[in-house]
Amino acid sequence: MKITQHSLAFLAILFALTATSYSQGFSEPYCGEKEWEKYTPTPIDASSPKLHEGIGRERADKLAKIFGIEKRKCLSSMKFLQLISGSGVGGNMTETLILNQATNWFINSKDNPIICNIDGVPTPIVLGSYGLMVNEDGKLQSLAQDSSPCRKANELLAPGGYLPTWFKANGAEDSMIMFWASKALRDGVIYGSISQIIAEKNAELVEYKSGAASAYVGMSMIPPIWIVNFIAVYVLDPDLAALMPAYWTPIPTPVKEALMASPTGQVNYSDFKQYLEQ
Amino acid sequence: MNKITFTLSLALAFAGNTALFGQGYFAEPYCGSKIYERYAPTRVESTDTRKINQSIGQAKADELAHAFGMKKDKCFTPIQFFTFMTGGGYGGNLTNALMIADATLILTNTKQNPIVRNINGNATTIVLGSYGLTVNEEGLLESCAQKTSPCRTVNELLTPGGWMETWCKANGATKSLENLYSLAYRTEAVYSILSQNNSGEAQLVSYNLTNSSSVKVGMSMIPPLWIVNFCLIYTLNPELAALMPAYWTAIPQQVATDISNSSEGQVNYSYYQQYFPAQSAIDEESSTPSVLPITPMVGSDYSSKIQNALAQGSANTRSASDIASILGVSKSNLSKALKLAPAGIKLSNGKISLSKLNKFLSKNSKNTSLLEGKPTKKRNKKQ
Repeated sequence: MKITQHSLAFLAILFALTATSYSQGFSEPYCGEKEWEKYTPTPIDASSPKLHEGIGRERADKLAKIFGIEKRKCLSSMKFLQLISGSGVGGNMTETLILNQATNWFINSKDNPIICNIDGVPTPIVLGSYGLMVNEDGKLQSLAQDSSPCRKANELLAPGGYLPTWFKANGAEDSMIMFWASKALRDGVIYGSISQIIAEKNAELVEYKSGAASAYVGMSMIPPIWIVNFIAVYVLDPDLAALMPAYWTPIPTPVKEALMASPTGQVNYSDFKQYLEQ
Repeated sequence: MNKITFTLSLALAFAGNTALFGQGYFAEPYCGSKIYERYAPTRVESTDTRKINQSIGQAKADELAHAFGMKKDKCFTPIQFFTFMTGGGYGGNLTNALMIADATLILTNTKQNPIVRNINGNATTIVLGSYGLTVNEEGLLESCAQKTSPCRTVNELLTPGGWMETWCKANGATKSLENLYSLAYRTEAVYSILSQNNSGEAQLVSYNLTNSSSVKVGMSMIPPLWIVNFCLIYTLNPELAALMPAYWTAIPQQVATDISNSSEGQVNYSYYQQYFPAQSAIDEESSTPSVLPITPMVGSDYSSKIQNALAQGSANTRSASDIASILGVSKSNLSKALKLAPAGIKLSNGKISLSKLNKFLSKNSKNTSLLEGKPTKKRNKKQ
């Protein structure tokens, strides 16, 4: 079946209507295809030393293999440089900037703090395990919030989008074929797209149940979306994919409540940094 | 005496002595330090299309880095490279990062890294690394060190105290900086500045031959510049340094003369494209061949290549390999074309007559099509 916005919307409604009660983990569609869930980040407490830890190169390579991605078919260093500098045939800086920013936030972990301007002060931000980011205006939000480069990057990846076109025009079509041939990727795209459509309001946070308790995390850390992002980054540069967060942790309640109450799904980072800084 | 005055004085001193040195080699300061000169690319003949624009490869790059006192594990980490090149980190600057990216792409412009430019409306693959030349976004052919080239404008970002040093110090890459400032880099940087100061708008350098004549090459291929650029690119990413040209070759005389005579050191590439190896030769050997259509070679271009070879003193009878090199085509395509050739072109000793081949190619476009590996049209048989 050809996946269109309409068929995804239909599936989303179907999921919403048929959603059954669950007591452990992410519900459907947020948990993604069961086959892949076990390979994705597991929850940890915010006090854990593993908070914001990257998966590491060895685990990245193992996961890529499981997901059907061959390292040798990933972009070469030169193609990667061309892509991230808007060069090559059909290179475009507007799309490049979105891609670069999205990639940077996908791999925002201990070894890749992102320097953001917070109240005029360059501040290192590490929020990967929460599935949160800080935008150029100092707003804290989910990576999947509407205006986020990570959300906009969806369009770049779609068939006929900037990335498949660039890859084809620059002798890297094999990488893109491998990307779309991955079943893990295709499953992730379907479940991830539906998740983004039905997520509550603009906050793009997802509930995780543990018995009677529940916790929330940013959309980018749920299994299907984490897998799609992992595969996309790995194809660009396996070394960077090794920096993706290995664990997720619940967003502190005051932060979660503020994000969900916000009409834009954004709050000032400076007002909430005390809950998020280690 | 301040630093600039000192540099200029040295430049004048070297300029005065230039004529005393350099029989069969680059004169000072263009040869750089004798200690490191042997590590720089060596010259190949203009007919050696196999080696022209060939990159050094990873093993050689690592070997050279070692010889220059650099350690691979002290280069940028992948995330430092990504952050630096995308204008991130403390003091990140996208404009500066893009300038460095452009310069890197130009300095690694080999068969393994063709660049694409719009030449008269056609997306055209450019591979000119071994000549030390590039084609800018306006389609102008110039030395990589021409004053408006990113390779030249990037200098100010790389000087001690410049943006790169500041970024490295602010983003935990001090050890990469120390690695870069090896003795080889520091020594050759001085020669590089002097060389660029001495070379006018064209930024071409003479290589003196034993018969008192000379040939020219773009500034980026002389030993000190090549070594400085190698150290810089290796620091950013060793895999990119592996794509730098392994050999240099003389710029065709007419091209060198016209670049030197132009007021800005630039000429229209479209007028001079014919002087450089045909694209078909590049694509066959490239690991990442261009996917774009390029302007097809016409019979007269092959003819001019043959005439050039004869004018440069080539013997009229040459082996099939030599002829394939001269024409910039594969040996197998040449062999297919020769099957249609009349007797007398291929001699009994296996060699081929250049002048007769020229006549044969100019007669029929089908002959040149075969050279380019294109199938010739077959007539349908009548039922």
